[in-house]
Amino acid sequence: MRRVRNAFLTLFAVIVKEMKITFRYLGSLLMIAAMPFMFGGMMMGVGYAVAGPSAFANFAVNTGVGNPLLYTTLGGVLMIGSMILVENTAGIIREEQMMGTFELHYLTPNSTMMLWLFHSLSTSLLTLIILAVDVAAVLAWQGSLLSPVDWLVAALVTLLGLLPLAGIGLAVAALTVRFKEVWAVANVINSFIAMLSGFYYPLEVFPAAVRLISTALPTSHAAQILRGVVSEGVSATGLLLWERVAVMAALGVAYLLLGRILYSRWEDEARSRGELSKY
Amino acid sequence: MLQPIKAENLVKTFVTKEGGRLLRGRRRVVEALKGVSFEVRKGEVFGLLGPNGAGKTTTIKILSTLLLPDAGDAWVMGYHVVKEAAKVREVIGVSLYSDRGFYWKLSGRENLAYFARLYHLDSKYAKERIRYLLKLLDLEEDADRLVEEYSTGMKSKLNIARALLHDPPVLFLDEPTIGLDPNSARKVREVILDLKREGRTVLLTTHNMFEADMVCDRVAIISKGRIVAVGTPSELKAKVAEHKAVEVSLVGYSKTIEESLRNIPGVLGVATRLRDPVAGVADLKVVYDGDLSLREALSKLFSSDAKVISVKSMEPTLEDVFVVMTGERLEEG
Repeated sequence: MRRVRNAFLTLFAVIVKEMKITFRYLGSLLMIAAMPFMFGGMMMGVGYAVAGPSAFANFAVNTGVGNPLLYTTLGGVLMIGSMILVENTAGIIREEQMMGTFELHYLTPNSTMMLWLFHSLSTSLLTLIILAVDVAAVLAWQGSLLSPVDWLVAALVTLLGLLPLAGIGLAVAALTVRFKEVWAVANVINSFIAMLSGFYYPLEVFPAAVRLISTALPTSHAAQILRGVVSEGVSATGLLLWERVAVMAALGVAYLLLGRILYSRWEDEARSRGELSKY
Repeated sequence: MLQPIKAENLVKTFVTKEGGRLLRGRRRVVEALKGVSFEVRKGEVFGLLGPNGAGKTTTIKILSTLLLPDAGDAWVMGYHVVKEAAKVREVIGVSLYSDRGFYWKLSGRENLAYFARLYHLDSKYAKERIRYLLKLLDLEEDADRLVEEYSTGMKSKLNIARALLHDPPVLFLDEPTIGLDPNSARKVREVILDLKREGRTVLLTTHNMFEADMVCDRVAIISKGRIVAVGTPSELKAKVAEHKAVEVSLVGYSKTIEESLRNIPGVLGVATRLRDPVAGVADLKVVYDGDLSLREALSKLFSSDAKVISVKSMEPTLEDVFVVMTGERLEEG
């Protein structure tokens, strides 16, 4: 019971801290909120340039989605959220080392691995808030509504799609912190996630081998489910909802386990080499 | 009787990289600790006194479980720093930096509240504790300002407040007054003495001999990874009480001059602080026995190419102990 209380206190501490800091960088927050629209607008513009006035009709035929603005907004939120999550988690060791707070966390009676995952959870929750604001703006503009169930599915799927990325981020952090190349590696991974998740286009455009690789990304499953939500029940190709959720959960466990193993190894070595505070 | 802090023959070696022309440079092995042993008694302020690179921070990091020793053992409140690291962390408060260790976009109070939650303090108790610590460290008025607006002195005090959040019986302070203005440094030293009065055991590192003399009950002089002397400031100064010291300021310093002084019989140690390497402006501290030695030393100086600007007779200080024991000065240039 005491351990649960302590874990909640720690989680609460991290969420309060992260929210306060995020909301004090108002420019960055506005940029994050605006980016899904920017990317969505760009995609729709390119689509229109390629297909002309029939672009949206073609899009509906090819994807089953009759509301491209809502679809690209949801995809944009998921993409920006995943990018932020991978970057933040990958860079967290370095960031905290630079601020001189890394060792201070180590000295508290918490697992540092858990602490950094709580930071990722906090980032995911922030992404959900942005999702709610952005999607609400689109729906208000178009005068339509998503049902409460749709909202809930979208939020849970986004969370489930994002959290496993914390494991990838932590693995990148542990592997790259000694070579100080965190951002380069995180950006390469983000590029793959952006390309292979189908945030803006159906993955059927890719050859089978590429589609197979994309199934290893939780975000590709999340994007497929969101596509189902906005296409009003028209199921996306492939797996059923519960099957996708199960795959995402399994991927989550696998990536978080990978992150844990690599991070723990790094931390033990860093404690021996005196690198806990080297940045 | 249980000693709050005990170190036995601690050894630590680091492998560092030197800058190369392309990619990574050569590796260099640095022996940071070469068998450090000491004990700190309950309720004592114990100082590790030595210049930069002597091994002070390495010692404090091993004792606070942030670094694993290559050999040797250490205990804090009876807990082994490697085998019982989690237990050690519960009984220590650590301040590692004077101006880092905070979230700049949070206020001082918010930073403390964050770490109080990480220490799982009850919300009501945490609020009271934070209020008490802010008052203790004269930070009440600035508690709700963002840390990015704090001066170095305020950050140093906030660091100590953070280290005291969970009311630990043992406190490690790494150079707590480095970079502080005299007023802030004095306040920090007063707080350290208050902590001693509360019965806490404090281990601090410093390269400031006045600080060690003023706040420490006992001091260990550390140089190049070895402890060369341990005792109360008075005991240590008594070791050089029969010796005399002068400080010579000169222009045109060279290594040859320093060596010629060292070779004079009766000269126990010479240490140089190079103020301006280009012009060769330097202060030489010469610890010696007997007036003949001084006469010969001054004669060599005046007949050398260097221009002597001043010669001052000095009272014995902890630095003289350091000079005699190591041939170095505590405070560099």
